[in-house]
Amino acid sequence: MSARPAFEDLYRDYLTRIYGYVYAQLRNSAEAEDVTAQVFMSAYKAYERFEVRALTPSAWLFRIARNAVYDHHRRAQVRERTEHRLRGELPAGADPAAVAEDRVLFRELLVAVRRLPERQQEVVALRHQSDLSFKEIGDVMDCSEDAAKMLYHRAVKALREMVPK
Amino acid sequence: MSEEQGELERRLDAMYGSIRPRAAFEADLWARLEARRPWYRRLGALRGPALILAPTLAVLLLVGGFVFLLTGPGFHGGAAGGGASTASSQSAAPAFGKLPAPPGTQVPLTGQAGASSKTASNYAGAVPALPASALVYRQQLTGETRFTIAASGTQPPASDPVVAAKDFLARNSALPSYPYQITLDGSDVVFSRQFQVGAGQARLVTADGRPYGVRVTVENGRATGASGPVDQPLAEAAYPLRSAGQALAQLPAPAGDQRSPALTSAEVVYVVVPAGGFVYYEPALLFTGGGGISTLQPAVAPQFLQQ
Repeated sequence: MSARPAFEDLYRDYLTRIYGYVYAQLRNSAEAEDVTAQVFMSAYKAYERFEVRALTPSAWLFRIARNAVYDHHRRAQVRERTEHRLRGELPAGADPAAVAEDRVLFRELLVAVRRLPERQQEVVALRHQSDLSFKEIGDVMDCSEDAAKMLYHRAVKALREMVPK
Repeated sequence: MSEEQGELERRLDAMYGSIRPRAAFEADLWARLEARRPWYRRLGALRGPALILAPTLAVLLLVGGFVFLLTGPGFHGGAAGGGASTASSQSAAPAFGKLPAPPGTQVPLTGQAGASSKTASNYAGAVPALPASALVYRQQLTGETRFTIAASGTQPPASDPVVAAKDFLARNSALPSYPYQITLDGSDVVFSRQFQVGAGQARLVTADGRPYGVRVTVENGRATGASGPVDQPLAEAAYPLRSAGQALAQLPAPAGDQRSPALTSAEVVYVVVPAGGFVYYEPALLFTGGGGISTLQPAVAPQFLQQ
């Protein structure tokens, strides 16, 4: 059985990557920080029971992150619907950090990624934000290795058509 | 894989690699995680050399304790060890050493922090809680730490000065990438950087309580210029804080006449303190009242401030 790394090492090695994955899904730095904090709090609580045999530590962390993002989306949808009903207002403006980030080098690419279907966005973020193999990405996304590969290649093909050379 | 696809994947790597949390997030979250651990698990986090040294340290502690029993005042009834305990009770200052106090504030002598009975202030409001410690930030002052932009050409006027200011900064690629709070200060729109203190956010102010940050002057709905600190990474170090009650106790007593205006609200802020070729951002409590009066009290524990 592989040795389990110390939680401190996992935290140090994966904090930025988990934050990046969460940010890519939420596009709001404050919300990304909250959700990243939840991910590591949950991971910390569950780490004693974690066994490397079932998943690698990084796949395990990204799976927790994926669930946390889904939970956040669910809560945000409920909150947004309630607030709209109560106030009849538009959702809050763009996140300042996101605006700043958008204006830098990758604007066109970011816009193109955001036009992809949700699962394709997710597979691209996992592929480029984590060091997971397609087998592990499949584990995280509840699909087979081949399905993860297929999903990713479709996403890249779509991006090539959207992004100017 | 085609060269075109390889290039796209390299760009995706670079794009995702550029997404990073703010500098203090890693330390803040780790502190929250550490706070949830029982003390023996925190000790368990010491690994490597610490574990190898542990038996040696244990032996030294036992020997030291035995020697103390033989030579200490309890055994002989003498006073030989008194001076040493006073010296060892002085805490070592964190990474930036003793910090310069915000201009215009008085640092109480160590040991007087809680002496409050004779300094009854004219403050009548809620006092925000301060955490046990907070980060202090520091940046070296050089010719490149501030920027100034003058408006050129004509811009359509905006009915909202904040919209005009944001638009101006965005067009000049100067919109801050850090979290900020927007304040109107006369005809200026100020984007003050925010820092995490405990569970809340604290904005940056000058020693006289005015908002500090990227300042955009807006006249008749048009931005005429902007200036402020360049968005650069900051060095940081955690410092112990005193309690809000201790800070309140150090507020200057009201002037002799009882008509001096009362302070009515208190806010945790970060104050800009330039000193010795650096600019420090230090946590503080800003007390304000009617008529625009304000007074600032450092939040850092007095023993870590220069007298």
